[in-house]
Amino acid sequence: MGDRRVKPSLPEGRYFFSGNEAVAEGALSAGCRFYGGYPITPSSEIMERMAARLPEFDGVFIQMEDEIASIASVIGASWAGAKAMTATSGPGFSLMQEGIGYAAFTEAPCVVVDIQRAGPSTGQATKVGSGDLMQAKWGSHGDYLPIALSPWSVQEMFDLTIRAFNLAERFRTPVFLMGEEATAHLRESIRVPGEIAVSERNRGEGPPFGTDEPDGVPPMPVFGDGRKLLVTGSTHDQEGFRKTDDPETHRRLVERLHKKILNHQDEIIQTEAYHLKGAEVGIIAYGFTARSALFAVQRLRKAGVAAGLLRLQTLWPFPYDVVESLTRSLKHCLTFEMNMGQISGEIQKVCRCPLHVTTQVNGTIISPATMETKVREVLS
Amino acid sequence: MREITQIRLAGFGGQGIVLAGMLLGFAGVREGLEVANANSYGAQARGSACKAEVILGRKSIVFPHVLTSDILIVLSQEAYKLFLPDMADGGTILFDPYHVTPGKTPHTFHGIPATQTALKTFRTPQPANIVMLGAFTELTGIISEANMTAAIRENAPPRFVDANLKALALGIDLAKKTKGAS
Amino acid sequence: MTRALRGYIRPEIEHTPFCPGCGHGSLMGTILRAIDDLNWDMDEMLFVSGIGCAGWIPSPHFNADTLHTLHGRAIAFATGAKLFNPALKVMVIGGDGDLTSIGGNHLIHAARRDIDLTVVCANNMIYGMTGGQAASTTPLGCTSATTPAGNPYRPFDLCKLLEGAGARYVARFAVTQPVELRESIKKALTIEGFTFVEAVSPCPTQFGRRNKIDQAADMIRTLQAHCVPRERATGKEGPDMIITGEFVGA
Repeated sequence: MGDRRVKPSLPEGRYFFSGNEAVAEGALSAGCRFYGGYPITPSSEIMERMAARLPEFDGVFIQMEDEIASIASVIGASWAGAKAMTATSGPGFSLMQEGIGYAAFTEAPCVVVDIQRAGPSTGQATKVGSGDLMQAKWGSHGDYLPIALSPWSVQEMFDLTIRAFNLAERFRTPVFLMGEEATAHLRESIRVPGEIAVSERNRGEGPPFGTDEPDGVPPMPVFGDGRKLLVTGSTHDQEGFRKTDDPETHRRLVERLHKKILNHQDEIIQTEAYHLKGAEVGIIAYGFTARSALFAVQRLRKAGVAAGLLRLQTLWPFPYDVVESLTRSLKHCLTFEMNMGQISGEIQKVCRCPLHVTTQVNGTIISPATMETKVREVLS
Repeated sequence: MREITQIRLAGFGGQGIVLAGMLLGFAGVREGLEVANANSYGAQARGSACKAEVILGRKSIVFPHVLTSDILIVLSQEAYKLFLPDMADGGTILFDPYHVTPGKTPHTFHGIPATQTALKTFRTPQPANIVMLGAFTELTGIISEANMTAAIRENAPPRFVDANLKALALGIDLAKKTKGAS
Repeated sequence: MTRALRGYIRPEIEHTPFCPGCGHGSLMGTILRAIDDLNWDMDEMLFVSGIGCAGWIPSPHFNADTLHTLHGRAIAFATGAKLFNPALKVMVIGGDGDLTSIGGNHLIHAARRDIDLTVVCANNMIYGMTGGQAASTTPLGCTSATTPAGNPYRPFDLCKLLEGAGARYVARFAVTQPVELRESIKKALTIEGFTFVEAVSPCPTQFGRRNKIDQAADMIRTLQAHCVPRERATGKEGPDMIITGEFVGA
């Protein structure tokens, strides 16, 4: 997606980046010009690279006093016209949740990168986990629909960061890049293209908080445009006036925030199918775990086992339709997660074949061997 | 070279294992290869057993961690013991005899006196990691000397570039002697 | 609101939301008069506020860009907006609970960083909107909804706090000193860097009735009686007295 072709932050070519460095370059390429953050393992290298690189793009970097302030500064900058981001990990993501709800409700585009580590609480601060996915979905109070993307490689830490900015601007909403320690600290060769497509904010005329369509995305003027913007986290009418006593205003606003995501799922949801043609057994995986799964599937296929993989690049909104249609044709569906089964619960809602869930919460990645064994167990 | 080569570098924290792995990765990219590199991180990298994994591929790398290492570059006995079981049959082990006394296993062994050479030339063991990279370059031929040199020049800490290039050359020489002897 | 200030108020606004006797309406007028005196263009200004009665001073009333944010976080939002667009003249208006209790961390760090913001803290020494609970500014011994036997803790001296945090300009005046307060706000707006004005504001609804000052007029008289200009202060004033004046950057 994206409606403008631009040059990325680096000359076209091959690079050797850590996942965190790739996020920073993806952000700069997408046009991010404000970063407000607070250090936390295992995400800090994103912040450090932004501190070094943003000045080269006339961007603004600030290390705030905590994660609450970080997300607040990002939203403030977003309303001042910036493509803005922060990056954090579990504990910081928890602290940001109130601000994330504010961004969703005031429709302030921003990107929040969560490099997940093994929680809860301080947990295993340097070890991998994938336990923040339901927090991404439900973390702030009240009803809103987030967009959350799940990169599986350093290349996608770059590519999906760009996409996260594009989705944020297109739908005027916070977008989460749900990274994982294993990919954040992995270094891989990546390809930076000569041009990328980026989406720009619609700063046009019209009420900034409402549209005629029930699923529309209103234009977003910014501070200093002379529009005398009225931005509030209280229930507001389409001009921004607080209307906290009016049931209809609240209903219309909350429902539109839902519909602007739900009715545009085709634009948002991305999945990838590997070896699913004729597959009897399908693994559904995302993030780093999908790397193990693809490796396992390739080995199983070589051994004559009809296994395949559905990889979820978009976790929220959840690709229920894709999962439902796939599982109609499978004999068995397996999931592997570095949490207690957060996404498996979503799959269960629409799964049309027996579902076998494997969870692993010990701060290590799930090995391809574990997956091969499980598949063989299920088939025996 | 094979389609995928899995390499482990291991030792204890402070030996520059992670840096050596990263430089090898940069050189691999220059070589036109696909590269994945996963390291010990945090407190682990600063003490006890420390490892760096580098996978070099002529095709895209599906799983980015080392499962069985084709090559082990090892600078501590503890790391040697830890990672020997994961060696591929017929794999190659580059060890520093200053730290490692290998056993008898069906692998190709190259003893590279990296630490001693570093101590003699630089009066510090620190460049032993790069000496080992030099030996790796010469012995495996996966990465050209020119690309390894460029990777160091571009990515090593600037004030140590000259010392590291010298260490690389020393490692290449040591490996040539090893080859002559075998 | 005088006719001259009507243009500073959004045309849709017909009245303020504040209780009878509340000092915030007066403070609202004082702020706008200060801006009017400076002849500043409201289109270049951004007003940021948090949650609480004082958060409603600019939002939705002021006819400018207004950002009504989360409880305690106004300064952090303002920091982002100001840094990204330095051409914006950014004023943060909030209450004592908002800016100095839940938001205290942001307040001191913005001062330390010397972010070019003017912060006006409407200090009524209580949580008004939530129903009269104790704040970090409630005087020792005072009764509130959460200190029924009297507040056992000392309040912040906000001006000393901000001086310690490095603010360029620090002043305290009561809304009963409208001329001094207006001049102070003008000064704060024109000084580059982080500036702070504490505007002591009576809350008859929550503070007054819990502390046996039942009439709004009595609140105002009590406030006046407790204010001591720093030039006249002897240093021997009791903790219930309010020393007013400019403390930094005079």
